[in-house]
Amino acid sequence: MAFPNRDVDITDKTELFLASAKHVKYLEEYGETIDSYEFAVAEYLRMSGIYWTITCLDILNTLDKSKRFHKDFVVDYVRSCQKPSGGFSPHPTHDENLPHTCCAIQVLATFDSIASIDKEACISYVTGLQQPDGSFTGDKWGEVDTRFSLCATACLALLGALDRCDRIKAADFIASCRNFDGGFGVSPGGESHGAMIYCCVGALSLLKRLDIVDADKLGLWLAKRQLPSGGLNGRPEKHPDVCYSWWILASLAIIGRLHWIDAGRLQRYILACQDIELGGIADRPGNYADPFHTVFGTAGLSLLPVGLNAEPAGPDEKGDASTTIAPKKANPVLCMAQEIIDRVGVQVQILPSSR
Amino acid sequence: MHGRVKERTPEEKQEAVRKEKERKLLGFTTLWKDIVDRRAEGDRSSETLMKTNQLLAKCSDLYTLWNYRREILLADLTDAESEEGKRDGILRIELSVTESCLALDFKSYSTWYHRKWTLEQMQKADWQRELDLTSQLFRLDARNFHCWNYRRFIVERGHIPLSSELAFSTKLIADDPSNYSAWHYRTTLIPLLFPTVPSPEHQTQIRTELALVVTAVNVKANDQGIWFYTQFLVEQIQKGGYTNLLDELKEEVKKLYEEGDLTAEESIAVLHGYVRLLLLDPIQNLKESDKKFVDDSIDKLCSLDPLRKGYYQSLRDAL
Repeated sequence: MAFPNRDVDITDKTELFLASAKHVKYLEEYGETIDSYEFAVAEYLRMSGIYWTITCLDILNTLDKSKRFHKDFVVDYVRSCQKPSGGFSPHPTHDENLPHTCCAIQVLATFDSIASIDKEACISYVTGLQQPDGSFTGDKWGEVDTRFSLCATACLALLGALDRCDRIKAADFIASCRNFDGGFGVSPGGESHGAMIYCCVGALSLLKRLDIVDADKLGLWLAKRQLPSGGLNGRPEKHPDVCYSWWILASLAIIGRLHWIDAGRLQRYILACQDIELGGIADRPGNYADPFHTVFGTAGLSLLPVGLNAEPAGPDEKGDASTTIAPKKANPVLCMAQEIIDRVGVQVQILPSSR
Repeated sequence: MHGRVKERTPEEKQEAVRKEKERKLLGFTTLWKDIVDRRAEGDRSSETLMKTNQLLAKCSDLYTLWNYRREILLADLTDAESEEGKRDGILRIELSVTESCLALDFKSYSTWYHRKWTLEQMQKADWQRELDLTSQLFRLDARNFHCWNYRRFIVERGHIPLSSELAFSTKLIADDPSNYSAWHYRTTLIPLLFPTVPSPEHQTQIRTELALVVTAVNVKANDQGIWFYTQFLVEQIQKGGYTNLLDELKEEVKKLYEEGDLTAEESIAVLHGYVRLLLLDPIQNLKESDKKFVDDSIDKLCSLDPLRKGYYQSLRDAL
């Protein structure tokens, strides 16, 4: 029986600095430089794309200087996506759902513009999707998934209305998705998966119910996601992927077990996934970059307790201080700069470190 | 954009590639706009339903189109209410549309959900056929969690016997002991199949599980899924108070560690597994020699598997 190697090799030559200026340029020009057909098809996730992009620019300290993503333009777009139900769609011609409603509120919170929308309608939309068992459906069509539990609680928390849903039942539903390995799946009985663990642990953190988590058991499962390359995978026997540098890492941070993996190795892996030439971060070294992996890679770096090297100034450029300062620290539950979470006044629960 | 290797288009081909993309773009945006306009006008025709097929074949994540289909279908289904079999006839088309979309992309949440929705609307769904479909897809990817979630739904709605599902999981593990999804499935089935603990039936099953684990670690000692499953096994043994089975498990793991022909990676996994079994006993009950063994092993694990040094050190705190 052949057992394939599912990890990747990282050469020692890998540059150990965050190419912030390149990433900023990549994000600012995304949509103009990428394949126009793919960009048009991806309209169904435009609101998420805006959230990934502006959050990354913010973490890289450049959102206030952005030419393309300036506040009025983005807020107007987000407002144009609020539907009569109160929920948000990714684009005016698409339907509303919880994930895009959550992203819309995250974007508005970043620009301190929550007051500019019909907040009450949005709260009613979200709470109206809660089911008798405490779960949330993604939209009026009825799909249930633990991802929606995070979208709903995150959205309500940012709107200052978490008490408007049934918090006890919301936590009970998540508890019913807990597995023998300490992880969580998409629904009761679903296999543990890094992304759903993040959603469940994040929602429980917002609900201040991390007592539901067996931190040692889950911590071991999460720590086992690190591969020799330093990268993290989402489930046993899977490839490493930069987005798990967020889902797994943030979960470890929330349950106080970040020190159970090697932060330096993970940093090296994320940096090796950068496109040093054109900017952006990919899932694995040498693959195409995209805004999704760029924000989760950058936010992941901000959680790691190891310093980042500044980008060396090129021959033609003087070291620009604005692009070489460290990324802002991200909040492990909401994946937005911590300073925004503090401004909005959202409290998350973080378990004390085991040592 | 997962798993796409970056490559360059040769200069002489760039113009042709650009033209082709423009053509594709125009085709897509024209069709999308047409469908959006029809929906705004309240169009519920079968012609429009067909039009959505074309775009869904290009991208099945366009969930708004699935929503629109359901709006059209709900109207059709209300009309078909009176005629025997007509309702399921309409819905069978949805099964074939979702099937062809899954053939192109079987990781799309919205396609899977539409299929579930379709089955729930049917008067006589063929659950066995759906179960067979998931078995077929597992041959392409035995870990696809969408397909596993769908299978759980089929088993529940179609009243598929859980004992045959346990046998299905055993078969998958025999094919590949690293199929974590199959191990996971057992942990959900066993408590349902054997609700009374302790009981002779449960004990017999747990003895079978013990044999399964022992065989699997001897085939692939460094597979973490098997070791995670061992945690479940230990919990079941403890629940039932089957101390002899726990002793047996410890003996087997000890033997494997001491006598097995293990690679470096395998020996980390087995040693870790053994240490965890020893730490199940309260510290004060551990023999001095075992305490020393655990202490030395933690040092060893820290140096052999430095990525997880922080975790191993936390085990020492228990001492």
